[in-house]
Amino acid sequence: MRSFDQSQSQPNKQAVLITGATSGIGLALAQTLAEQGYVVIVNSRTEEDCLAIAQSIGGFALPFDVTDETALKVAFKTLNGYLRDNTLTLYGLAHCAGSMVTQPFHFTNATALQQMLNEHVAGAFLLSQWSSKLMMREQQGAITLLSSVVAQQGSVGQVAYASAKAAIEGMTKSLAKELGQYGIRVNAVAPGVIDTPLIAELSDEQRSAIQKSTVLKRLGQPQDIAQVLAFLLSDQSAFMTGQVLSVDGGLRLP
Amino acid sequence: MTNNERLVTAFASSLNIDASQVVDELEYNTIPQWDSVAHMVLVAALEKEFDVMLDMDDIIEMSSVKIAKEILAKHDVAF
Repeated sequence: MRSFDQSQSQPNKQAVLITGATSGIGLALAQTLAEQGYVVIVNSRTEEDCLAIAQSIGGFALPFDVTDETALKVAFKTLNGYLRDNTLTLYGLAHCAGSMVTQPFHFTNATALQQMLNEHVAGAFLLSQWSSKLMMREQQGAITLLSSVVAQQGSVGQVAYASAKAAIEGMTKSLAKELGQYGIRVNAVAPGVIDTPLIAELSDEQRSAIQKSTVLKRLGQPQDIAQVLAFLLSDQSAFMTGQVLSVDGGLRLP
Repeated sequence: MTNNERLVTAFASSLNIDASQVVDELEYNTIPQWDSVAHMVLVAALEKEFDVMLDMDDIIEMSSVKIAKEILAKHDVAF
């Protein structure tokens, strides 16, 4: 198990799998970790996007749909071969993929709810299961999941999304308790409103209102979240696990 | 080293038991060393040793040394 010793870090031998790595927070994290020397495994549903980002940052493209269990299984077998052939270890997982359903409660059907649960909850569950199995080989690793400010605060029109994100927080703490004995840390970040394609449909008035409601008077940028995720994946947070960090510009302060 | 010897070594080191204890009849949860925590250490060791990725069903099913061999055989590891 790792101690707090930066000299043990060998990012160029450590791979980090990032889902949703071709846009928004996932892309910002992929660029950040690549700059730090990690080998980034770039995932998204679209092969073309994956290849383009992987090429631009010098990573490995691993396209698959996180809601497709069969595809996920095949992808991890491919990943295992890539790690073996390049003498790498899987050190980190960051599950950043996922969409956001915003609809009034009575306009949200069961299909929309299931979509949220599949992308965020089942996706995180299966990714953590397969990733942690690879991490156990070295008895070390770090998993980061994405919650949201709405997991604890709730939000009108986001019952399905908030339900899924709340589940992520319970998952984070339970995984941390179960995987700690294998040297694997599990943490989550709960972003506030971040300027990503997820909020592209907001009007200027809505964006302005959100900005005013934060203490820092601005929307978050993907890099704001990526920096915290990178910290949670690194040895700098070697004694942190089971935590959900709010990164929201003070949005939830009373 | 034969595949059987590699398997015995993986079992012995993962469960922290003597190699002589690793026989086909040895079953999960029948010795204190082979509990659910050690089971996953064992799975990781077998996956690394034989370069396979076991499915979750395999992990649940792997309840003895004999069955571990059968599961690995499904992944083209001959004993």
